[in-house]
Amino acid sequence: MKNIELPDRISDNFGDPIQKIFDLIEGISNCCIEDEIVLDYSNAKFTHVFYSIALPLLVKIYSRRGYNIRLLGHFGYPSVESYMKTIKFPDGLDPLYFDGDVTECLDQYRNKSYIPIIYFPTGAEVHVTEIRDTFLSSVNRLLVHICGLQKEMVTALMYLVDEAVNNVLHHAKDDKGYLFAQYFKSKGYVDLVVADIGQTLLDTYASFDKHKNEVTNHQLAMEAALAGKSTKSLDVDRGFGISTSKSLLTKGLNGKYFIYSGNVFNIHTSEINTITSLPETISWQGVFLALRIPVVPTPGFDPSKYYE
Amino acid sequence: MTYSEIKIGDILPLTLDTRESASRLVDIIKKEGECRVELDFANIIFMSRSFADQFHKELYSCDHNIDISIKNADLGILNMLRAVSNTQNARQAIKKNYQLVSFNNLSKLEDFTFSW
Repeated sequence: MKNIELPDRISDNFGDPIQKIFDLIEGISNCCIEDEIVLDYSNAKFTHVFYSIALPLLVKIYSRRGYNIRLLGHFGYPSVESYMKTIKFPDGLDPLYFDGDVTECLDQYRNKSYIPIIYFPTGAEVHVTEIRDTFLSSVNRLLVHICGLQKEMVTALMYLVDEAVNNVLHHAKDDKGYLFAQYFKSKGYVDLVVADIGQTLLDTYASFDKHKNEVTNHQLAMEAALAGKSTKSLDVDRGFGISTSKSLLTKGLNGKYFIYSGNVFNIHTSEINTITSLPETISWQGVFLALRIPVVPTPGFDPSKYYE
Repeated sequence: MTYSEIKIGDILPLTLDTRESASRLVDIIKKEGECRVELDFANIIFMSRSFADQFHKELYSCDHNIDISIKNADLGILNMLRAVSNTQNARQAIKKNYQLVSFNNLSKLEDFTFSW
């Protein structure tokens, strides 16, 4: 058995949970597929949004690859145990399988600073889309309420969430997308993740004749996505989501944008904008998007300036 | 030409988030036949770009002669509809302003991620 001890604390530095996700992927990929891998998070004292949602998704990714991997299911610190239970770690809240009224369940979070981990269905069947649309609307409004947002910031937050969610719905080619968020009032921002474990950006471009000969690796796929190259040849407006979201968040709000797919990520803040390639084994199957969204807008902030 | 009113808030969630919900709205509009349709956005909080784009495409691709008017939409929704209609036929190139970096091992990456 290979026991991988997970970090007991993660700082609120934007990059720290992400670095720890990379470290974990490296640790898992250094194991043999025959090993029984146990991710031991029992000593956690301080968790983080980005890390908490990545853990069960990494278990799924590697399970699909045939690894025998699991999360240790209990936490040594009662406060952490309680928090993780409340956010529904690791199984999340899935409206298709929730036993009871999911809207009433979300109402329980109105006085909290976080939402539960959300597993949203991506199916195209009418009954699934209706359930999903109602559920996502409730999640959006819950987030706005938790963060105490008004006017332009309501629009900005919903724009960022919806662009990310719609990208999952139309590109992931997997049965679920994942969303999690927490508001840090004293720090003035909300940390948000929207992720999938389906197709990478490269997989998406490779499946369309228009791009498959020019987008041949994860870096080129990331560059194409940031440039807004749509996979839909006739849809001129498609492909704006990432570029306008980045612009709105980093220029409009001085926030931070991180997108990771395959072994490549883009980090965009007011100070840096880099596309970074990692060793091939440090790879995310799907797309992992992490945002730090300041909730107090700069004077004169108008989200519509970033739509085009 | 007949006249019809659709209260969006009665048939869709108060945030118009996805392309699929736009398709459902257009299906309902098309069922009204050739007429003037007033879409009442009272209480609607937000319209996503994806919704606006799908709505625009499906509505203006149909053969019906439907005259749409917008009622009680807040400025954010009007701005979104306008922005999307402006990008239906042309788009500006997005400037490349990023740096390309690579790391062969994670230990060197740590200083970089710490700086974010």
